[in-house]
Amino acid sequence: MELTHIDARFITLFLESYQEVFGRVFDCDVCRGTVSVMSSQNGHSTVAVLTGVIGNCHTGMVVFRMKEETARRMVGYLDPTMAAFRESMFEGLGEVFNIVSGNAVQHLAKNKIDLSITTPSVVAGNPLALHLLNQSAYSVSMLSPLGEVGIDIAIKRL
Amino acid sequence: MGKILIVDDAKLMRNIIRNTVLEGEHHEIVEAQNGEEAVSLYKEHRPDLVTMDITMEQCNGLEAAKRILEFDPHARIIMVTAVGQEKILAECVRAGVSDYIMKPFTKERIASSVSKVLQKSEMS
Repeated sequence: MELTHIDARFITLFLESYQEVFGRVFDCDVCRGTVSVMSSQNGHSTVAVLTGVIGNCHTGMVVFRMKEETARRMVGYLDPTMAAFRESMFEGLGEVFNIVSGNAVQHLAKNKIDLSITTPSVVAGNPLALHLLNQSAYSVSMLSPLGEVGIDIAIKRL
Repeated sequence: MGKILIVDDAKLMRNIIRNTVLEGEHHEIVEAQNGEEAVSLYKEHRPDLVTMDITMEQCNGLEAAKRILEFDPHARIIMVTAVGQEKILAECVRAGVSDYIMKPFTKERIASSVSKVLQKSEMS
């Protein structure tokens, strides 16, 4: 699949925002891998945060994938008490990515792309297999001292 | 030492703010999960300072701040906002809030805002 001009701009803006917000929240440097296209994910992730994206011209989903220990490290960095229990750790993780996605959406709005996001849902499983029906996603890894987070952006024009 | 009411629908955010303001300080903390609860707890506890999230169900932060300031015009409120909520924030400032913090915030930013507003409160 080829990235169209608008999609490439969209993906770049979203990733830039994620990189910036993640770096600010966790006070660390974040490195970005190269973008690839996928329709299903069977990697090493055991936790995923799913966020719906709705706009006048776009619709779709953004998925953040990671290992559970990465999720625990992220939430634990902000609040060790919430990382101590699995249920509260997932609740905290949803909030972390709600902030990240919210900032990404605002970043996009400044570039004339208007979107809204849904409240994130957190899913866990080992192995975790994600299948995006009838849709491909642009997938990229973000590396930080807290661990690796895979981002799948499955958004299409209406 | 002061009494602080932390209002946010996300437990993680309440915990971050609570842990930050308690670092090296002995404040009394009261927490609310929405604006409705915040107004009620404000009247009950009369805190020295309120940190108020804007986006909440069951009475948002702006409405809750207005209701608190109507009840107590001297109330000290710090709004916790996200990028893109500038219009609502401007309305909060017009309503009389003391300061605002933009998410994602640093712990230093919360600590400095809380300390500044509490000092003003002690001086008045």
